Amino acid sequence: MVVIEKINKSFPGPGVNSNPLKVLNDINFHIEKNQFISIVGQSGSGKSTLLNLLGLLDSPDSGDIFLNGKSFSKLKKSQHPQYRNQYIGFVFQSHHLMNELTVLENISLPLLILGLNKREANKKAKDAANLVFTKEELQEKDILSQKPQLISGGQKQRSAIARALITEPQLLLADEPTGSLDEDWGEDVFKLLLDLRERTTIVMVTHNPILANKTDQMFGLTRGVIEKWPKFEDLRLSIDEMASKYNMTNMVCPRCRGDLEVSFIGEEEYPARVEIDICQKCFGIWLDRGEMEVIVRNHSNLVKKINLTQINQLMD
Amino acid sequence: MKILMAGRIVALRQTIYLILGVAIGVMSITLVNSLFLNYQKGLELALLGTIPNVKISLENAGVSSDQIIKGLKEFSEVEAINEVLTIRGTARAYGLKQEEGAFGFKRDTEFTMHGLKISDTGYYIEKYLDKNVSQDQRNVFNSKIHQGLSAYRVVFEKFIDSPEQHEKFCSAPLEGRQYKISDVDQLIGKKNFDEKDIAKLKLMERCIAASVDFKFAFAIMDIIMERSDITSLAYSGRNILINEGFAGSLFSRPSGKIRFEFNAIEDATNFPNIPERVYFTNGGIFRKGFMGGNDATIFISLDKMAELLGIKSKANELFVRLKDPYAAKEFSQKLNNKWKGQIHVSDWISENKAVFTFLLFLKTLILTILSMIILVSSFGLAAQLYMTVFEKERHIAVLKSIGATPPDILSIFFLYSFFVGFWGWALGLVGGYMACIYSTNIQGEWISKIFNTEKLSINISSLEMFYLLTFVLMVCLLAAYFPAKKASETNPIHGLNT
Repeated sequence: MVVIEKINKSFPGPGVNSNPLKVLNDINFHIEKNQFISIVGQSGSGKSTLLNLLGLLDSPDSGDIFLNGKSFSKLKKSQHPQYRNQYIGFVFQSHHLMNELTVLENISLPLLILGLNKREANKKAKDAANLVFTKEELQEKDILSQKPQLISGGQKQRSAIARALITEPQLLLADEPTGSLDEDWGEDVFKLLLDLRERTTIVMVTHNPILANKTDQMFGLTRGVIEKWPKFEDLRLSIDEMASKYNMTNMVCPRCRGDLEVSFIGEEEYPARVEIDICQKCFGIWLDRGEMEVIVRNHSNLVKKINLTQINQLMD
Repeated sequence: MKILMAGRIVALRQTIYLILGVAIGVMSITLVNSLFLNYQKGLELALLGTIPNVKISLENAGVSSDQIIKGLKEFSEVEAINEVLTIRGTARAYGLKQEEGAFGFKRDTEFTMHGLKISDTGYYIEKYLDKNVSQDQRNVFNSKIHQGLSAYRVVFEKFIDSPEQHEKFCSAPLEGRQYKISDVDQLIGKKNFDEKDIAKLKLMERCIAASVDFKFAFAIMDIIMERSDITSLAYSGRNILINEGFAGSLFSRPSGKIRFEFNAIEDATNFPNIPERVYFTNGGIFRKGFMGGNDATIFISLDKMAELLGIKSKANELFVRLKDPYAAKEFSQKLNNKWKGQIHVSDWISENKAVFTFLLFLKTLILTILSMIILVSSFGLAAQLYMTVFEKERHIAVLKSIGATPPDILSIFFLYSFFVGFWGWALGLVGGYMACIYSTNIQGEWISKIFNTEKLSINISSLEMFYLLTFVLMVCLLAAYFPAKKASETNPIHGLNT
């Protein structure tokens, strides 16, 4: 179980005398063992910083993280690499495999760092590879002896996952694992992560709400503040519920068959408030696949895309 | 992991260039060091040719020469002891035209004349060794030769009975002519030579060169070998061996006469009874390699010297040859300890300290300059590793994220540098060895002029190569230090985002 307790993190501001930039603000949440959670947020929202803290690559200004009861703050800095090696696995957006090594060598690297001899490391690497590659890939294509530049993007990412899994970590951190893959490979890799839930606790940072929605829990990170987001199924409220939940009093559609009116108050890119003025029939909300957007539609006519985060801010 | 990564951290092509850079430096050092040792050995040989390993002065000695000789024989280091009567001074020398008795060429010179028991040194046998001669045979042969003296055109007195042959022999242009001993080998149809055969072969070669009937010469050689004493061959009494340069300045050839006027110049010699005018016979000419010059170092038999000075055979110096000439300094110390203050002992190393110090300085200078090649290569290595740190920042970050510690990263770079250094050294050593082998095949007059030897040898000391390896590795590791440190300090967060 992972417990994140009152984590704060700032970075120096851009100017000499500027105030520090607060990236994470009193972050509190916990993840149950073998849960697969996703963290969603805009660029610069602090997702990667949070992931770095969870992966012991960085230290918080205050607060603490516990992994199965072990406090990160009590670990000496010199213990971090070993702890990372044994208990935490990383999967990056770009696979970060080394082209100079074969897939097998890449997968076995963490164990070689741990001090295992090559034979043992290779044996375990093959076990890990069995989890992520098909028989065909392993036997017919002999993927393990290939150099990474000769295999597909999805296979590279699965190799990276095997590398992360080889030490049987208690926590697997995935930073946009499908970000650099096309749709099919992305789904393929995501399915693999879903299957791995039984083996380890997974934290995934993603921009893809569809994938995030399929995880056990979805957290939104906005301007350093984290909150648990409802699943999209829960978000599709009836207009009455919407009206009552978000206190939208003016929900009358003046021109049911005409154009939908969406008024922005403030700048269009970063509106302070959006007023939606449509009738019940005309109101629909769903997410465009692959984009973190709410599309407000009038009948079947697309009128405006609004960022989900913005909607949530408005709704709050 | 470290070995795996170290082997892949830099592309093979760049690695090969780096290794070659180090190898060229090592090769140069190996070759130059070998040539330098050839030079040094030649110089030492030349020095040892005319000066003894250890010299004991009997002048004003508190112990009798017999006692000293008896004492010396107790030392296992001693190979030979020679009683020597040495006179030094200034004289006017004339080379007399052969057989005519007329005045030839004059030279006023400072001279050192050593009267010694020729049979102990056997310097009249020309030092000649061919690759066909085994090491054991060489050793036997060498033991008969006064170290470092390369006597040539030694006159064989019996030739005088055949003036025609003798003239042919003495006037033959031997310089620069090459005869393979195998040709001679065929002539006599014998493969395994003994000491006497080798001497015969050499003589025979000379005879062929001089168009002299070698069968005739064999008879002479037999006499020489059996008697081992040049004096037995003397027909006119005072045979002397003189330096090539000195002989040249007097235009004197073997068997030619040389007249010495000991009192022609004011301060003469330290022997007042020496005759004013003495005729010698040029019994042979020796070379001292590049140490030769034209100094008047003269060898004569001890008996003749005593006769000349009108004294009984009485040595004023003892020349001691050691089994290991390089132990001379320690040995002279032993002698000093044994006969505290009663004798004056000098050794060839101390006497030529200035020469050896200069050689050491020269060697250090040359090797320092050559080591710059390795240093320059190390800069290349450092530059390459710096590039690698920037190029592979993401890989380093990944390694750190999966648990590599800063010392692990340091080790990868150090291991890589170690590989480059070691292979550069090994390759350079092989290259240097091959260059040395090649150098041994170089032939020419200039080889003997520079190196005091007819054939260069390979001088690669394992200890020196070990020092070189240590130096190369140290330089390479030092070159890797800063890039390695920079790599180990890579911020994984930054690296992963590049």
